[in-house]
Amino acid sequence: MMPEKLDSSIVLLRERIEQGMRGSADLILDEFELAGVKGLAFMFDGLVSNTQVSDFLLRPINRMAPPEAAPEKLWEYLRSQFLFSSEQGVVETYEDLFTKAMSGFAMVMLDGVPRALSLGYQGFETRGVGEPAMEKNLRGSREGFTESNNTNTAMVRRRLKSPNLTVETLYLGRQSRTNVRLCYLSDVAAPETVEAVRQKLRETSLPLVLDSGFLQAFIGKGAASLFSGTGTTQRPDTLCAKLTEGRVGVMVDGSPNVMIAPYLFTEHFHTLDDYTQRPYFTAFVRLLRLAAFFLTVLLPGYYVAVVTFHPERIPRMLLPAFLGSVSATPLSAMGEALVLFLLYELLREAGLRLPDAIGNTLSVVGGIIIGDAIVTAGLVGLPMIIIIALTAVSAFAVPSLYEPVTILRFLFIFIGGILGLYGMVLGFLALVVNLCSLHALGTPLTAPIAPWQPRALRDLFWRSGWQRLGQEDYNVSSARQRERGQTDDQDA
Amino acid sequence: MCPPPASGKGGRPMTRTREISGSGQIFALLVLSQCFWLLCCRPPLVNGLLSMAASAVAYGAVFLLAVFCRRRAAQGEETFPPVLAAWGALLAVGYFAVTAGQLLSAARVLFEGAFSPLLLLLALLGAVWAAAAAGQEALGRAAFISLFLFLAAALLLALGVLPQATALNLRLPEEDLSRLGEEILFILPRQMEPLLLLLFAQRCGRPRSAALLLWVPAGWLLGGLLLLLAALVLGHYGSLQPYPMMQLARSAGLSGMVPVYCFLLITAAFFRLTGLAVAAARLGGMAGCHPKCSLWAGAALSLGGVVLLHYTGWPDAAVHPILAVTGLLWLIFALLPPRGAGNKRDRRR
Repeated sequence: MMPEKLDSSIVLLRERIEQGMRGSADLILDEFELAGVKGLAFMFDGLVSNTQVSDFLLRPINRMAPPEAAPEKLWEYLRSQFLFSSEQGVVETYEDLFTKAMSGFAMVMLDGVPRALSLGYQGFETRGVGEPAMEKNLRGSREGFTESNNTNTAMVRRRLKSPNLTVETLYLGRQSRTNVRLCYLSDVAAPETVEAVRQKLRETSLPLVLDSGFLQAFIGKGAASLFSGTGTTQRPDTLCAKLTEGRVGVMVDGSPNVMIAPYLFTEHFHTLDDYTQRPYFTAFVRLLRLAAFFLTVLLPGYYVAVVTFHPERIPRMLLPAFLGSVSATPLSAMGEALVLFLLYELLREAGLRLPDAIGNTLSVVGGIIIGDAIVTAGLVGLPMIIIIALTAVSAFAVPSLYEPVTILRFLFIFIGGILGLYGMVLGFLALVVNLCSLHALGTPLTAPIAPWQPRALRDLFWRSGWQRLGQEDYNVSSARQRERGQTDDQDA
Repeated sequence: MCPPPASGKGGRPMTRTREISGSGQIFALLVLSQCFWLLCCRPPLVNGLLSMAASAVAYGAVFLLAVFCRRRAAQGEETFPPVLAAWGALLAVGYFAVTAGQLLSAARVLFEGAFSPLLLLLALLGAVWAAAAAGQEALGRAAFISLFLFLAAALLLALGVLPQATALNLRLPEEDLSRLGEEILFILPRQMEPLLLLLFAQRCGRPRSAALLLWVPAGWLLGGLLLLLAALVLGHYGSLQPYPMMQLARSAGLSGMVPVYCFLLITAAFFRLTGLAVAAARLGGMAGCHPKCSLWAGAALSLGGVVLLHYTGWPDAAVHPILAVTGLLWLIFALLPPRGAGNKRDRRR
């Protein structure tokens, strides 16, 4: 359906706006007269800056005395020589008129002209730039994204002073009409990747878009899995680094979480600090994170399986302690593990959204008092407490994988408790196949391990020094061309 | 130019491989699949060098078949006549049933009857057919990743039992020489990988790659080294065990080695079974069955096959030769040039 064009009559325009807004309390409609031509200013209270509107719009209009002229000429005079704003545009449809006004623009219309002038006099309050809560680092910038797309774009632009940094705006959400920005480096990002993201975003049919998480499901859509082909960041420096590798960033106005696509599985084990620390230490912490991932997913299930079905696999020294604790408690090993994990997740969930002071109290009550009490009461054994504590700590070594890891941990506890080691190995292999079946916008999620790319080894589980990493400038397009070349060779 | 900023991908090419499987992935799948018979069977000889010599002869024949399969796959023909495809699908299901039966028998010994066989079977079928539904590409990638873990586990097992190895166990009793033929005839029917190669190489990005043949020597070397290790540690005692590799893991005296063997066994079985399931489903599709329908039919038939083998009590040693002869016949028909393909010169044109 074609969008409805603006009326040229001020009376009709006013009626239409009032009808559309149904007498909204924050609606501002100011009529004025300019050289005998009636005009209308349309904006929303709280979204525009009162100072800017009075200084740059109302005062100049009241003081100006232009010669009498046709409305079109007068409008052109206003647009080109009289009213100024850093963000200025022309709007021709009602849809754009409302969207712009609700984004903090002041709209100016003249009788007899079927167009509106949009002036960026936004004045709504936003949070200042601060350190991201979820992605702290030891060295490097302390800046994190905010809820304003303008601020976020500026932070990226300040770090990537490239004319190829392209920022596109889309308005998504049938009701919310949220400002969503696609950013990429046009000379690096593959056009098909950008087009795929753009297309998938346009195809979303949500009434409301409040965070990039709303859109993640549409971009990373594919085989049923707990893992996703997209990631998020709250750090402008991380986003810049990803953009230089041909990825696409998706900023959603009102959210400090910027989505990155495509996002490979191994990237979850990398942090920005890995590149500021010495390579040997980077290798150590990356392998530690990988071990933590496997530990947190498999250890509780393995313990349950061994204690329940394969006690002969427990080292002789530990046998009395392990089996003694299981036989002294009323629950089976699987029951113990499930109860403890549910309790832990309950405490975590309860403490997550509380004020800090109450959250700390809850941690003390939950972690120490309840934990101590259930062991003293003989509900669970001490070895299980150690396993759960170790597992819980390990889960936070790779925070971006917390969601899938939590569900997988429960699954493996069930499998270990029902099918022992046999089920654990089968479950693990099924998980690997599932992970291998996923694509992120055409790139296999398990790349560069499978498909195997030996060149990537220099920055995978360990990192080469900057002298070696810096020898070649990385460019996805050239990588693709090279791959195509190889394919052609093979075909030949 | 300055180096790429730090983000986790310094210089990593983001390749798009939606359409094909790499030859390295098929190599990994076939190596893993080929290790199964050794981990789950009792060869007539567990006698180190002699066993390696016997398996070299058997693997030589497999290599020859693999050469023909690769050549056929490289011709680009992706389909077989419906009758041949249906026959192949049934053959794959047959191999599937025998393999699953062997795994369940080994699992019962390994876990000392801790689980109901039906539960084990249902879990196995669920995992395998779900993995098969993910397709060849996912399976190949998973095999590639798992091969690293498999090799690491095999190395761990070897290091665990190495202190008990003694060269005195490598004696070659004279009567062993007379059983060399028996050993070859034992190994040969258990090699169903050429069937997988023929089907998987058709959809490989590089059907002429050497990796599509290298799995035979690689599998032989890996199996041979494990056999040699078993002979060095267990000696003649190994030949008396139903599962010498399991005994090898148990002999390590470390509580961690049996889980390692468990991982090796189930990983090899999983990839052999999933490969067979993918092959059965694809051949079912060529026979005119709907893809989903052919997956479900394959799962049902394999379940039926395992139950049938279990209740009839047929030993796998009896079923394998039947499958091997049928499989060889099928391969001969499948390797024949497609009708109307013209002579070699025409094909080159």
